Amino acid sequence: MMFTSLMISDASKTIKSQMVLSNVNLELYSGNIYGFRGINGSGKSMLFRMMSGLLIPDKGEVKVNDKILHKDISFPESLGLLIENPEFLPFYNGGKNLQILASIKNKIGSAEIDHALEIVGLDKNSALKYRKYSLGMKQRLAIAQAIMESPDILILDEPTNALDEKAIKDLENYLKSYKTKDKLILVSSHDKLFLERISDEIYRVESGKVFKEETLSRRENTK
Amino acid sequence: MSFWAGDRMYLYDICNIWRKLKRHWFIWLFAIACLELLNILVMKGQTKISINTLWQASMGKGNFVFPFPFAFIFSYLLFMNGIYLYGEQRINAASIIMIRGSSRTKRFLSKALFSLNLSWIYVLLLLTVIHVFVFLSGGAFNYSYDTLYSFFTVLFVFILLSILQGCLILVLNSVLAFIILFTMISISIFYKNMYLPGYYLMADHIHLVKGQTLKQAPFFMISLLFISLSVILSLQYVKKKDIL
Repeated sequence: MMFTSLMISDASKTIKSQMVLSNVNLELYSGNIYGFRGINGSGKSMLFRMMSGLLIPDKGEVKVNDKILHKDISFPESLGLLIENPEFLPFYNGGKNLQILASIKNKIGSAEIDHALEIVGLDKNSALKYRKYSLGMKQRLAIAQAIMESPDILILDEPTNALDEKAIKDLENYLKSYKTKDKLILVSSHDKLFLERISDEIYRVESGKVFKEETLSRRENTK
Repeated sequence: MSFWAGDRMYLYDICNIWRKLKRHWFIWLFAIACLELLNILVMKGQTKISINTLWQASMGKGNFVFPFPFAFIFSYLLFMNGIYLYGEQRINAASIIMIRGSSRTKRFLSKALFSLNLSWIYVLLLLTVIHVFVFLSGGAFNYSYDTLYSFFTVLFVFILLSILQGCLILVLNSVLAFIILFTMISISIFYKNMYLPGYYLMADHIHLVKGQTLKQAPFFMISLLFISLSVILSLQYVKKKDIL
């Protein structure tokens, strides 16, 4: 098991003269789930994009395991990412789509891909093409691509979208067990209760600024 | 990290020439076969069919008001190279592929390699279709110097334009990139100048006389320098570009 850290120091970003992230400071460590919440357009997705190397800060820096993004590395070396609605090839089934993505890193085989599909509740033997998937199935596949390579950092932007209650419960259990493997997990959601249940720490994002919130469990412990 | 080390980003893009564009290939093959058939029907009775005459007809000599090569280069730039590069650049596709590629530089070079390979496969298929039609119509394969030379120039222009399109899509956007290339090629319909890429796509322009090839050499050298510079500048740009 490897210890992972993600540090953001004084990072700001302006896009088209609008400040989307303002002086963000965060220290995140493996073995924890960090929840992020905030209204639409508050900057959650931008923050995740910055952490994953897709967005370059105008000011400040993002460090992953002491390596500075865009200086020492382009992207975190072991990252699973779900952001927006990832596109898959419409004329292939879920398994084949994951296989194509996995071929880029060439780190995992069909066993790991099947396992990821099982975790999210998709049938690994199904021949159903992606274009025929329901919204919920698309979201499950998007989660599967993020987790299949057992990344050290897992970033999930609103993973509960379009998922039914059972799928949300399964995801919750999976994330809780995944963090015990010394993984760093970041999740954003509009579902406050879901975040309260899974997170060790919750951050509120508001107009590009990030504030730490107290979690329910912490509040209960202090009572 | 060396050019090839670490991941198989390049292989991913090369596989996509078929994987993502297979429908486009079938449509294009059908369209090109129809146009060649039309060429042969128009030519029959007027001139003897050979690899030279059919290739020249395919390059816009005589049969069509709007030069035929423009149909295949524009469909290539719009529906094959352009559509792929545009699709791969959007956040929905880029986020999950790019982070696996682990490097922005590699990602751009991988796209350039895609365009390079797509170009020669496209031109090779075009030439194959033309050869098949010459064979089926009982034509002669008496290659003239002009014909062989223009095989090379067409391929060169395809590679040049497709890599340039990749750079322009990255810096501007796919629509603007297409308009710029469209304009750049279309000028040659009205204005013959050997320093314009469209010049090398039309049979009417290619009648090589002694010393002509040497005269055209600067175009190829300038083009190579220009495209190398474009790639270097794009690599600098891609390192600073936000993926939104």
